[in-house]
Amino acid sequence: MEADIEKLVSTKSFKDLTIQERNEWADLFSTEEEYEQMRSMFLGLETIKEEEFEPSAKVKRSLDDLFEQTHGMKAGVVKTSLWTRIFPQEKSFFQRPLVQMAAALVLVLLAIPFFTQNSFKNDVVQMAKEDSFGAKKNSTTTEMPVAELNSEGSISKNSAASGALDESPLVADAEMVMAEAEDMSEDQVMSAPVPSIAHSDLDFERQENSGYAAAAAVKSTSVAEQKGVLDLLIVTF
Amino acid sequence: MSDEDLMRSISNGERKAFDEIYARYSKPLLAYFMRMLWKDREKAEDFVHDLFAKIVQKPEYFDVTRAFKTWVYSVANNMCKNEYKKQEVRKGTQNNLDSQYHISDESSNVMGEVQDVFFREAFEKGMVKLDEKHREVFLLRHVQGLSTKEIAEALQINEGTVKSRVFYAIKYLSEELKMFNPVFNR
Repeated sequence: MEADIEKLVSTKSFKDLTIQERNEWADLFSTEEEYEQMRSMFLGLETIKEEEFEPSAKVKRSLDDLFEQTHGMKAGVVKTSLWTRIFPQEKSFFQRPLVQMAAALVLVLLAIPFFTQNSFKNDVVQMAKEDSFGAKKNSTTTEMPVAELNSEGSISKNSAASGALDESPLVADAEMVMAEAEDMSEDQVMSAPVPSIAHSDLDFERQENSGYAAAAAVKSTSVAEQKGVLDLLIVTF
Repeated sequence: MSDEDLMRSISNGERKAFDEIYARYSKPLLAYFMRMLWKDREKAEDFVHDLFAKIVQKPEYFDVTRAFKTWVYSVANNMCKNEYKKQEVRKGTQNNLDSQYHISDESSNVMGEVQDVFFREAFEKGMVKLDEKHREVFLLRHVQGLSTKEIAEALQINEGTVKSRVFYAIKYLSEELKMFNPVFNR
C-alpha cells in the first residue's frame, strides 16, 4: 500500500487524484498542502536513497582476519578431535588406535621380507635347476669340438697308421722306427732324428688332447721331409 | 546464488561466499546504521563490523527457513535498540548527551548550497527527531526498500502495525520537511 502512495505522489498532482484515491489515503493527507508536503518529501527521499555509504577498508580487513581465525580454528578443532580419537589419553597405551595401527604396520613390514625371502629361495632353486640344465646343454655343446678334434685326431692317427693319406705315412714310419729303434745302438738311436719324430709324436699326443691335431699333422709332414730320418729308415731296412 | 545459499556456504567456511554477502549488504547496512545512529559514521562502521562478525563467528544463528534480508535487518535493528538503551542509561548520568542526538546544524548556515544537500540535512534531522519505532519502519520501507511483509518479519510485528507506523513517519517527516514544499513556499 505504501508503495502505491510513493508511486502516487511521484506521478500525480493533488488535482489529478480521483475521489477514490483521496478517500483511500485520507489518513495521510486531506488537503492539497499536506499532499504536496508528502510529495516533496518522497521526491527528496530519492536523493537520500542514492546516497551511498562505503565502509572503510579496515572493516573488511578486520573481518577477513576474523574469518581466517574462526574457520582456521575450526580446522584445528577437527585435527585435535582426530588426534584425541586415534590417541586417547584415557586408554592404556596398547589400547590406543594409533599404537595398534602402528603395531599392525610393523607386523606387515616384518612379514613382507619373509614372503620375499621364500620367493627368493624358490627363485634360487629354480635358477639352480635352470643352470644345471643349461650346464648339461653347454657341456654337450662345448665338448663337441673336442669330440670333433678327437675324431679328427683319430682320423689323423688312423690315417697315419694306415698310410692312407699322402702326408701321414711318414708318421707311421716313425712309429715303426721307434719300434725298431730298440734294436739300434744307443748312439745311433741318440744320433738319429727319431727323437724328433718321437717328440713329434709326443707333441701329437699332446696336441691330440689340446685340439691341435691338425697342426700336428702338418708338423709330421715336415718331419717326413727330413733326409736324416729317411736315411735312418733305409739303414734300418 | 541466493543470500540463503551464501549463508550455508559461509557455515562451511567458504570465504568467497562471505565476500559476496559483504558486498551485497555492507553499504545498505552502513547507510541504515548511519541514519539510525545519529549520523555517527564511526559508530555505524563499528556496528557493520559487529554484525558481520556475528555472521562469521555464528553463521548457524541464521535460521535458514527465513529470508536473510529480513533476518539481517532484524539483527541490525536489535543492535540499534540496544544502543538506544545504552544511550538512555548514559543520558540519565551525563548532561552532555544531547549532542549525540543532535545533527550538526552547519548546513543551516550555508544558504547557497544545493537544494538536495539541504534537504538531506533536514531529512536526517527529521529522522533523529522521529520516534525510534517509526524511524526504523520508515527507513526499512522507504530507504532500504523492504516490503511491509519483510519489515513485519524482521521486527516481529504484524503488517498492520508496520503500515500505521509508516503512515505516521511519512506524515511527521512531511511536516518536518515542509520548507521544501513548493506549494508551501509559494
